[in-house]
Amino acid sequence: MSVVVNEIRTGVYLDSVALMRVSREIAAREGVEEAGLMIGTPANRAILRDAGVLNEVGETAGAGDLVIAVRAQTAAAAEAAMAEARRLIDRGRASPSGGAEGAAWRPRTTRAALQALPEANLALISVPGDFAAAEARKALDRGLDVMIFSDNVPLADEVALKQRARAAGRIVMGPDCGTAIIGGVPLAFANAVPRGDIGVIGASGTGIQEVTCLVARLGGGILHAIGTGGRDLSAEVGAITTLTALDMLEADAATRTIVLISKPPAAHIARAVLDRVAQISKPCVVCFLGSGELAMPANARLARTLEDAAYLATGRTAPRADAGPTAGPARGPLICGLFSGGTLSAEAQLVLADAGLTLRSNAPVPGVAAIAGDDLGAGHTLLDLGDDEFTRGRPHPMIEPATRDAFVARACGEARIGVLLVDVVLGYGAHADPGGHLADQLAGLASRPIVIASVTGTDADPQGYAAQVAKLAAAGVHVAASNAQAARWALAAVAGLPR
Amino acid sequence: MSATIPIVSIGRRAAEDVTRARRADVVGVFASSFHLETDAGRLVCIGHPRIGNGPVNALAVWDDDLATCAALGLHVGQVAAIGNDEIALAGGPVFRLDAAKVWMWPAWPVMTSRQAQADLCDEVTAYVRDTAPAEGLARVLLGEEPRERLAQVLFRTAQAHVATLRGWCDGLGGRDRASDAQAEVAARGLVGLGPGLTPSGDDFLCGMLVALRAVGETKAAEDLGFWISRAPADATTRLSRAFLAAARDGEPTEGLYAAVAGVLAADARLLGHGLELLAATGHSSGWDMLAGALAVLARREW
Repeated sequence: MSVVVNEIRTGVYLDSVALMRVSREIAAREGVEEAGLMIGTPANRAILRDAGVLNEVGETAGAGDLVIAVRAQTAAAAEAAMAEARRLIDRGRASPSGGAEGAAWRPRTTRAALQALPEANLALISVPGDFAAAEARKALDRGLDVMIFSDNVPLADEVALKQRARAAGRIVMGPDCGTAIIGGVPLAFANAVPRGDIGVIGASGTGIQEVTCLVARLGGGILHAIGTGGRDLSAEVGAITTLTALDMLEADAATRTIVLISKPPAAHIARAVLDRVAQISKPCVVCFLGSGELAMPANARLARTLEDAAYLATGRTAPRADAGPTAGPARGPLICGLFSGGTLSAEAQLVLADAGLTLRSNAPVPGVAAIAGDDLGAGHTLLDLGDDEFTRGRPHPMIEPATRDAFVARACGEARIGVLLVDVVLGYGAHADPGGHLADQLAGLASRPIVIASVTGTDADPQGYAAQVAKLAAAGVHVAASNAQAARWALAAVAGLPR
Repeated sequence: MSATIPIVSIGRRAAEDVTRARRADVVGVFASSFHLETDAGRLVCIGHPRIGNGPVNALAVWDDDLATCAALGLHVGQVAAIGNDEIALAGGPVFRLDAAKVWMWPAWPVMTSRQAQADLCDEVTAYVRDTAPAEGLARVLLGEEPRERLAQVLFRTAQAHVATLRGWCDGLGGRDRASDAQAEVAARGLVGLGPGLTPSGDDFLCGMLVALRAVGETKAAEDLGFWISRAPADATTRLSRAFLAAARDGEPTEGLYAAVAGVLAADARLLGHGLELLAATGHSSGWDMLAGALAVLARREW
């Protein structure tokens, strides 16, 4: 017999998306059948009543009240869910987006934050792009290094900020810098990796995540992973942050090896960066994903893939030939890759293109054809579902894996697709159970191709690497040790099939 | 010493309400705005310019763009003394009105081309498909049912009401008592329905009310406004009642005006400005208003 518990909170003002998030978190709890948080207008009470979550307490709510409604299998589960709802609401009220009166004090300005924490030396800025440059300037003026999470910052502002920072001996990471680890502390979408002597400089978030996680799983550790923002190595920006980061990691005694990750820069920028690398007394690994052969300085090794970079940085030899899982021949000749990480998509494209496959992608590496649409059955297709065209008005698939569901369903329904290749990205900021979500979806599909996944994460991540791999494996997903290996497995699975 | 903050722009309705008031109470404090209820029971929303102009809005400029209202020393229950061109919050800032310009929406443009209007409506619908959040009623127009059970119940309830009101709009040329009665039930069914401090159903109705005036269907707008006004006083939130009252009088927010006028005048730049402002209005409120306006504008026979 189900138990319905309601609570009324008066004078609690949270925006609808915050309420929706709390609803989803509560509804996903063990033993909870349904949950909802709504303003108690008569129309909304009718909705809650129809959904079977309203009781006599909730019936008394008015338009100025928030109704928290839970239906669970047992009284204990209902009470636990209600307690969690209270905690989340109170946390939300104390958060900047909660914006409610009576909330615990939190600094709203850089100045106030510095008064509260005078020893702070880095500001992480996540405000709408129009405001980000102004906030970054304020932070730089107060002597802080800056990480700009915001995107849509004008290019001219980026150049000006980075020049200003470099002149002041500071660094600006970003804009659109979603991942960093500074002094062993993960910032934004980063993973829980052990501290160690490897420093990473990366223009790509998931590229940093894949390399740092592989390093961790290979027994190495990371002290700093400095995000530069995707435009840093462009001709316009001139690698200002990359060069500053090289200076910083060279000066950092605890860093013994430096890994540099980026898409291929403009030729003169690559030359400038490699000239600087040549002056460094430490071994370096350079991974310009998709670049051709490049002459490396004596202290540097060129990595073709993120996987290569991790192996080279840890002094290991990367595996080359993987037969892959013995799943039998694929049902069709095509590979369909559905990625939440743009750099993981790029790395998979490189592996497949190197093997001679003709590919299409919405975010192609050099040599791969660009497609505007998303027709999955017309050829080997690798989509970056985190690209702007798929995330306008929707959460990023790393945050909400359900945004990939429709593509997975279509790929599974297309008989010519023999292999579905996916990434599962863990870490702070990512979805709480992306592997479980994918496993649940696959379990409900009548037919499907061979599914090969890689999991970017560590056991110390909130989601737990081993737990995520186990969920995927239990659903019949073949889990590779790296994204590059997953791509090689996909190749092996369709090898010999007519295209 | 209290901070003095200039109000640079104030909506016509808000200006009237402030002029008549002597005191007010703070009834809601949010990141970018706070709400005052005057001694005459009228609601005024004072906020940063990013909330946009509107009939009940007063836009104030404070030094630190990112400072929230709570950081300015505002809290619920605070009393404001009003007079001498200022709103003085007890123990908080003083908002100066002497430099404020009264904001009024411009006259509605004359429709230039039905075909151009229809094309723009199609473009806006595609934009909604690409951009609108999963929550709210914009997705109802597209028929995209959510996955969660509670959201499904909400969706289906709203969908039925929205379909009835769209049918009523399509039949405005030959209205009868039966269709009016159904439309009234649907309109009242949307009042207070859905997430948000201004529930999505109310925002949708605001969009419809304004768009009906804009296309010259004054009688239909008045009737729809009358049906909505017959909903019980506790059918929705105080803030939403204030916005609905303004929309019943045909008063749009700046974003809604620009979007609707942009479609009517086939002015893509004006439309783009409106969409930008609406997208920044709450989480789904702007989109819900746009959906309501589209339900009217998509009719091809204006």
